[in-house]
Amino acid sequence: MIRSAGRLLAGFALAAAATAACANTGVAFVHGTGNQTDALNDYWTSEMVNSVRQGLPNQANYTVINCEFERYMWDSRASGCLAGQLTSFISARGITDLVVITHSNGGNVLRWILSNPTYDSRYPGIISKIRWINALAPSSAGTPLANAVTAGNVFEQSLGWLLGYASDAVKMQQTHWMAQYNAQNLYGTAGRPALPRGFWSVTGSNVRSAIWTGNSYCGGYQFQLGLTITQAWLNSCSDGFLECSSQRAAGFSWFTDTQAMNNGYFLSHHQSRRQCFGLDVILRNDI
Amino acid sequence: MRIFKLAALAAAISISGAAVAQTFELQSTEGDVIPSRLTAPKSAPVGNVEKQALHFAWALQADAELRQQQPFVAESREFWAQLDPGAAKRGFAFIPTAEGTLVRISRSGGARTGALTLADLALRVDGQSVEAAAAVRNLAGDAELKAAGALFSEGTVVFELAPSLVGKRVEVALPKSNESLLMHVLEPNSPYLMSLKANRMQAQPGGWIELSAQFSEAGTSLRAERIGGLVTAPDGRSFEINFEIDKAGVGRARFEVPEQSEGGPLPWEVHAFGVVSSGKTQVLRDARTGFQLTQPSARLIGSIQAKRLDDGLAFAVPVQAAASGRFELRGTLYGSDAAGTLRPLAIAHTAEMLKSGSGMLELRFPAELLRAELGAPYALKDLNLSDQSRMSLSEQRQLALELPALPN
Repeated sequence: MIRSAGRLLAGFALAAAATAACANTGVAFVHGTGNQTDALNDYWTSEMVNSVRQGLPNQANYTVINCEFERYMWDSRASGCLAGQLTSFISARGITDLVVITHSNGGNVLRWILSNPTYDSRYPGIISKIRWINALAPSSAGTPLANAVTAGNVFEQSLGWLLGYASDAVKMQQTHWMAQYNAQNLYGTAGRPALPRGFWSVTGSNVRSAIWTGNSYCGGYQFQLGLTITQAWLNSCSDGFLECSSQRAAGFSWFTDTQAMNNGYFLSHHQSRRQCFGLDVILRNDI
Repeated sequence: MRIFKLAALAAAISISGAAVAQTFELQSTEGDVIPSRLTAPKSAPVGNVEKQALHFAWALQADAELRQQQPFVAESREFWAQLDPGAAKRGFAFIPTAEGTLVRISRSGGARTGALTLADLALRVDGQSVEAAAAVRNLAGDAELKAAGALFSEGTVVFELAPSLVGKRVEVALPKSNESLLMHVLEPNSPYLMSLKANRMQAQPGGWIELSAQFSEAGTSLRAERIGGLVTAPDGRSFEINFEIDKAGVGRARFEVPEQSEGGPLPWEVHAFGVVSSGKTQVLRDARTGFQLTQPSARLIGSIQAKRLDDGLAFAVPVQAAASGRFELRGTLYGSDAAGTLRPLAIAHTAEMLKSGSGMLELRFPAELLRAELGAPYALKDLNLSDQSRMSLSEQRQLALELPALPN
């Protein structure tokens, strides 16, 4: 596993503090864009979650968040819902040391909480318990695909027929909107103050969809095919949905897929939330 | 850990100098956002407004390179075309300028009329009909795109043009269609680029914003033939803007923000449509950027008092509010290193409900954040006052205070 010196140092410091205080470690899985009611099965899969939580001293100390991440990140049904579920989890399980695993837009919703600690009285308590965030393919600088989807809707709306589907979350992830939010409402990007807790990104750098390669099938081949096509909207380093630069735009880069995955495989945007190529083991060992 | 914190506190106290609680005048620099007059917002608060007063602060690394954020620069290698049923039947012509050109088509019937297929398309290259299958590759429908997380319209089809079509006149038609058509052409590898940017990230109601759009070919500037545009407010109002092409070939427009507008978390959108000719090639480009509107519902007034608390340092900042609401203040404290360079120490946020009129917000920096390695002189930078009820910036000072020493 590749870790930066900074992450190691932070880890030692927090481990020391945690040991001294008899930390009760928990892990939270925060999904990406979409309204989830059963993210365990529909978003992460139980194989992924069960594998990761093996790293917990008490394997019951985990939660899978289900919120309306079709909304803007500040919406009470997005960050408010996330804050409510994290607070309940922390309280119910007595969590003192929380590792948060986010995927895609889930990173933005959590970054809203970290960047705006006085927006909601639940936020400071959550931030104080977080050890760090492992942000899998976070859409920190948005994606040109959101621009394409949203622009289409604008035109269609002007014609009087709206066929596309651009939720608030998709609109928010347009690159020019995220640039605005990163400059004014969120921390952690270049030139901006650091977040109060470490935000460590995992970057997917390519998509493999050749029908003859086994790694195309991890997580479902049908997803890989679509990602190969959407990759055309993006530059040469992308996971099929996000450019690498967006995934690395906030916080610290933990690793890029080829540095850490089994056989140096790529992690597509779909695979970075699935039990593919040893990702689950890396996350498990990090708790 | 505890020993470290105690040491830091002792050091912080010892470096604070002989000053007592001190009063400082706010400073301003070019580019600051300072409301000239206050207006009570008419819009409803955004979401559930927190009622509890909250303070939060954290340390920043001394070597962090904090800088003023610059407006986003949109770069476009794409354009959109809206075709009525007649135009859709006749076809839309363009000349691909690079390999890898993607064409996305959706039609008004959408899912009701089913997804488009290659059989629906008629392609002509330099006036000659060609089999779509020979001119197209990587065809995908909305199902595949949705599976990848790209939520394109129902019935949308996307395909890539064959590399052999670069530089040729390509016409795409739906000869049997009786519907309107929306066509999006993306040329990710094209040397032709249109950039668009605003001169600032925030504008005040009644203020203005300058926009510039520029074409280039492989990094060399091109003179735009014409550029038009629209500014769209979050409430749906849209305003036509006219770009004047200057001597350098850059399109420039100035947009006056309507006085009666209000701030909010959603950006105002700027959409520019440009045409450039290079030899026989006429290239179309669309680009979008945005800016946010400030909300002059509160401002900083009077002098700031810096005072030592039992557990740290506080800045008491007087605020005038035009209406009751929840207001947030955030600022970054800097200290000087051994070479005399100002470096970040910590950032603090505070927010609470204020009534209309004069109030006070207190920015608190706990003692453990005042690290010994950074000393006098100090500065309070990037001081932001926001209307948290409406998620809008009210005032922003890049260099708010310079402090020769911290108070005892």
